[in-house]
Amino acid sequence: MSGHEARQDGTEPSLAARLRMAADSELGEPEREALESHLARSLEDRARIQFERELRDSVGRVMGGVRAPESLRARVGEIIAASREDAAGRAETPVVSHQAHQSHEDRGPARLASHTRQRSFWTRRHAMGALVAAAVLVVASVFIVRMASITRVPLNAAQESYRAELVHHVANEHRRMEDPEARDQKLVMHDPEEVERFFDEVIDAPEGDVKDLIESTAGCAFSGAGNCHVPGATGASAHIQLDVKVGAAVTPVSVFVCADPGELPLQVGTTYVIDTEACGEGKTRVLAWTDGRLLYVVVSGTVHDACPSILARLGRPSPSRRL
Amino acid sequence: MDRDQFEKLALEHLDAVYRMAVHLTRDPGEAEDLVQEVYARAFRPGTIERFEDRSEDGESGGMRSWLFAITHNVFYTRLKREKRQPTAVDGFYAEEGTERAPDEPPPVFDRSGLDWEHVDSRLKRAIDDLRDEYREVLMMWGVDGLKYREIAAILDVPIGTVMSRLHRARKTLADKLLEDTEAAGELGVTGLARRSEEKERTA
Repeated sequence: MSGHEARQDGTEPSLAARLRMAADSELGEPEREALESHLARSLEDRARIQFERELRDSVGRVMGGVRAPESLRARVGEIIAASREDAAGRAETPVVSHQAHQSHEDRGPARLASHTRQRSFWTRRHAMGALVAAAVLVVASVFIVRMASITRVPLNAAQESYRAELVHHVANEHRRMEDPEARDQKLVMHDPEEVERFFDEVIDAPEGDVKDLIESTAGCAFSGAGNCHVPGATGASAHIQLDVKVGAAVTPVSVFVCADPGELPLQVGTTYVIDTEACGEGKTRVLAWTDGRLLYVVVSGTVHDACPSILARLGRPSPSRRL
Repeated sequence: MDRDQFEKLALEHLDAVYRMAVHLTRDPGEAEDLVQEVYARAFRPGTIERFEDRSEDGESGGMRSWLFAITHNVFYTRLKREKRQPTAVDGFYAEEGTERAPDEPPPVFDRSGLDWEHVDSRLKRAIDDLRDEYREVLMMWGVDGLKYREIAAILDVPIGTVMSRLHRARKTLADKLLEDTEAAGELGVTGLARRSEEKERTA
């Protein structure tokens, strides 16, 4: 930077500031030359500059001797490996996941989003509905093929117990929203901005995820969100509901987000399908993943499984592990 | 930037990110958690495709600055969430937002009398006592050699604020070193420091 940039009000930096900037090699050429002529007459100021340089070297020595421990290096390596797997998974579901990677602005004006939020939008646009249905079918096919080949993660008794508790809770809450009165009482947030604020301030969820989830597009409409109490969560939890078009049907899907209590052996970057049959909830599809801080749980019926659409919206890979 | 290059660059800066996390959190365990969150965010889907390394064209940016910015943001978001010191942090920003770099000159000293190696332990204590905001700037300046402009971009503050924080941090360190009679004696700066103060008073 030049000395002129240091002061945005147009005034020159003081001599003291210029001495420090000189020590930091931050002076522009004209300022440096001007200071040189001053320094030729002032040994004291030369010494001041030297002091600043020595101090900087010492600060570098004192603060710089910190190295990341090997255990951390290994964990970061796992995060990167999981991300690589994740990316490979996304590459297998290109039709809708492309949409998930587009920026918020790229997806069209908010006006269009508000249109698509209305259920009548789909009935008016048969061609678009057919395209969306085809896309969902493609994603669902990939999803089903992958589901058949995924490996099981062994759980200990405590983990099995938590899994059952979690599945019962989210499945019950998902079903309970079929009752309009219960739905009105729980899913009180309908304004996307309000939901974003809630997620930012209460859940502290990544901004992109929330936008990706609640932004209504052809084939998926945000229905509402509310506070929730996911078992084991240490902080607030949220329940978002969306209406997703699967084939000719529009089916509700619930997404629960909370601080990850760490009760299940989830790896960052992997999407898990929960063994709901083992929990007595065989008619419900439950997916889960963690970003290392937040736990995400997606719930849908199995007849019209809307989970693939949610994964695609969030740019998540298809499940590769059964839990 | 392709994925391999992105991963390689990100790992190259792991020590620097951890160092920043340690100096922010002052706790190795918390620092590890912070670093994991930083990398989890850095490797979120779509991030690599969107990442632009602008370090080569002379603009602020680059992987290290980008990771530092995430670290800074995650740390202060956590701080805000945990409500550890919300008033102090907010007050600090409000107080400093438009502040000019102070005009006090750096201290004068006789370099021939200095032995900086002996200063390190005292300097370490003085750094530990600094506020988070000062320590953070000091580290990026002293250890990572970042320019004012780069630090300002990472912290999302004006360059003047960076200069001001840096000045305060350096002045605090210099004062602490000089006020320690033994240290000042070792440094050979006692008389010179007094002379500097007298000169400032006269001016």
